Amino acid sequence: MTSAAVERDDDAADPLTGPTIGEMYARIEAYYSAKLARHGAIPLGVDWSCTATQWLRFVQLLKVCAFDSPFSLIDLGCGYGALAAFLAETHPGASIDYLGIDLSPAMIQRARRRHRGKPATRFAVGRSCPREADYIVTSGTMNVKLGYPLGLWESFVRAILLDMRRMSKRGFAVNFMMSPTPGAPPGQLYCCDPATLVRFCQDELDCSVEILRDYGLKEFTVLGRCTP
Amino acid sequence: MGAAITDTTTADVLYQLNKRLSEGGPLQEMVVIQKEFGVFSEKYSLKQAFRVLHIVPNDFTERRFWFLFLDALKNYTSDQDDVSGHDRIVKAHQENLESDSPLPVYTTIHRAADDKRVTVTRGRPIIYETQEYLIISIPTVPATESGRAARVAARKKRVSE
Repeated sequence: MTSAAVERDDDAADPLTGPTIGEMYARIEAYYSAKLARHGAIPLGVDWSCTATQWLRFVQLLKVCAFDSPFSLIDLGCGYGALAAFLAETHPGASIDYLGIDLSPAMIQRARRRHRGKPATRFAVGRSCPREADYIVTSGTMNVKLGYPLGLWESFVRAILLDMRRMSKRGFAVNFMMSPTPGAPPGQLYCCDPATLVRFCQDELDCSVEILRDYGLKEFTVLGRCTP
Repeated sequence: MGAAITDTTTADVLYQLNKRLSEGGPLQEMVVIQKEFGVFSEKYSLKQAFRVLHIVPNDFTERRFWFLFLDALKNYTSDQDDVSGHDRIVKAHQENLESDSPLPVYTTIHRAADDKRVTVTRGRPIIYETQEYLIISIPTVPATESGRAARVAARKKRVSE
């Protein structure tokens, strides 16, 4: 893909070829590694405004999990391991086999340092889910589209959702923005309509869907529950 | 504030406070955060609450002084008997955000020489708005009166040496 193509923003459904997806992942990795280098291992380092709103998102995402029995969890786009810290704080008695995956080696390095000495909390550099898990969650990983054409970005989003569905045994959760943050540069953020996501999850992912909204943020959370 | 943090930082944190607790989406967000985590409560100090909300000076060198100031509010008096300035602010936020009809909050400052207490009132502090606000006002001593300017200069000198 040329840089001119990257700047284009239209509704055409661009093919998600190997080289294209490779370049997208490389740019996303560079974007978040730069954020971490600038702000450090705090919410701003993963593009969230503060700890409180980050926690608010975690509360919604974790509603997909049944905490009454042990489970495995993959946190796709785990950043510096904030969700693992939140789980330790809010569910200290829960038995969770946690695996955080992130594109950015710098993020994973920070996450490992923060959670050293916790055998059930592991981190790995990667693009997708390396194994099956009871639940797979991802927070905000598809919001920043870095000027990619809408059609291409939506193909990218669908590919990630398909991967999450394929690798989750019991359910998955993901959040999306409904309207752009005031002052955000045009074409940088991906916002979508909950109804579109519901249709996609029901038709393509064969799962039951619950949409959470009205939790104080201009976004919604999709909880996908898989039937065995 | 003037005695504790720079004038620029005072303006910075007042702007952040008033933006985060302004009418509409921001206030709604804070109501949900309060409901979910109780950030304004006896469990947490103002320092902890503002850390979690990331209401901190943009200037890194000023953050420590901001947190010291928030703790120092425990030694301030308030417009309620036997309630410190710190606890008055926490309680005002908590009661407002947990009420049936929360108001946007306008945090401002007044001269300590006029009134040494932290005060909480209701009113319309923004003259071009008809919106009612909860108004939290914090007594301040201008930096020149407190000798802070001299302390800041001494600190800069130490750093440069």
